[in-house]
Amino acid sequence: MKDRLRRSRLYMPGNNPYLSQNAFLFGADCIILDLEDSVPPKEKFASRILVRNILKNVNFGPSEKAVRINPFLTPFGIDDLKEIVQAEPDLIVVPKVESIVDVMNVEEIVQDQKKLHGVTKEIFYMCIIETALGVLNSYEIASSFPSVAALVFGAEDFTRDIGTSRSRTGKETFTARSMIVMAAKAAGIQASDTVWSDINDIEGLRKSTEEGKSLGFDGRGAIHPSQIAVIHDVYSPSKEELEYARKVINAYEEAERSGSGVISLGKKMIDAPIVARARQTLEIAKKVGLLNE
Amino acid sequence: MSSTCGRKSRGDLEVTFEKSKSGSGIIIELDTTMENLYSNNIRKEIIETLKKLNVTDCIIKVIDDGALPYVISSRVEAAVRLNVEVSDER
Repeated sequence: MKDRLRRSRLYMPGNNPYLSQNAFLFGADCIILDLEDSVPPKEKFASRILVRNILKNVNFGPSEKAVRINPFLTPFGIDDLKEIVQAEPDLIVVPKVESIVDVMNVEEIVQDQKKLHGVTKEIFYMCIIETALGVLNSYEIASSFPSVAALVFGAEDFTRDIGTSRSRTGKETFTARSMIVMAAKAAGIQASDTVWSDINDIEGLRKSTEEGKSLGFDGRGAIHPSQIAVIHDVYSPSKEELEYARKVINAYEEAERSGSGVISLGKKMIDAPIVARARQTLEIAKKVGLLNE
Repeated sequence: MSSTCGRKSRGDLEVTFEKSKSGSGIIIELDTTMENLYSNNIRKEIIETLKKLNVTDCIIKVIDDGALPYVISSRVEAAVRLNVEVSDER
């Protein structure tokens, strides 16, 4: 499903079968078998075969199953797709996307492979934006194909690309993160924030995740299972948010019933965006199990 | 010429594959932490994978540390295909 809940995406090294065999127990919304950064070049060949068979044999439970391929600039990206599309991942995570051409290249091979192997399932893409050029072209990327489900910000490569380094405050990435959120939302897709690299700093993770949520992101990456609980906590509606959303919807429905053109909650006027936001909050609460259907 | 794939680590196996003369059959040298319980199953998985890849003559050395069947077939397939790729390049 294109707009499924993606609060967390957990990266698992694609060359380690032991770690992935019970990965669904970690409870991430999305599990990414990584063929890119966590696999050294000499293991790429064997890893993509292993990942293909993990996709076919391992039960991911409710987690979405995804694969991060290598960039098309390297000799590995095309071979990754030729191996994994037949195993029908839910999602392909495409790194270093800088223009519509990068998405077209992936789309062409995915469609060829689907035809070749008789795959009818829709496979979605998550495009990682991690260069200045990618940020500037992010709307074009987000709206390029219906299969693009999300834009992801990659901070490490981005900061290197613009000639700086990551700080704890993240101010050097603020503009890029905001632009990615705007591009994704304008195209009607999700935006996902970068990973938090320090697995021992859970407070830092919470703060940064709260900031990402306030910017408009729908989730973020995790490099360790211990990060998932915090990410889910931040990206799930709080009791107060849920309570407020219920009140807004009740007030809206009451105004509709009474034929009143003006909706108010206490002394505050409620307009369409506030109602839409309340619906969105309740929708997320349903998806995460805080509300019954 | 031989090719090696996989790792000697938990839940994984290291497979070293070498083609041999036509008619010599499949020789498996298996070293596994699951010797008593699963060595027959591991051999069966290796042979089935080789059969799917149309390999009839080879020496295959396996050092296993409790790999599941799909991991065994993945590593065997990788070692065989890598061997073919490297041979083609030569």
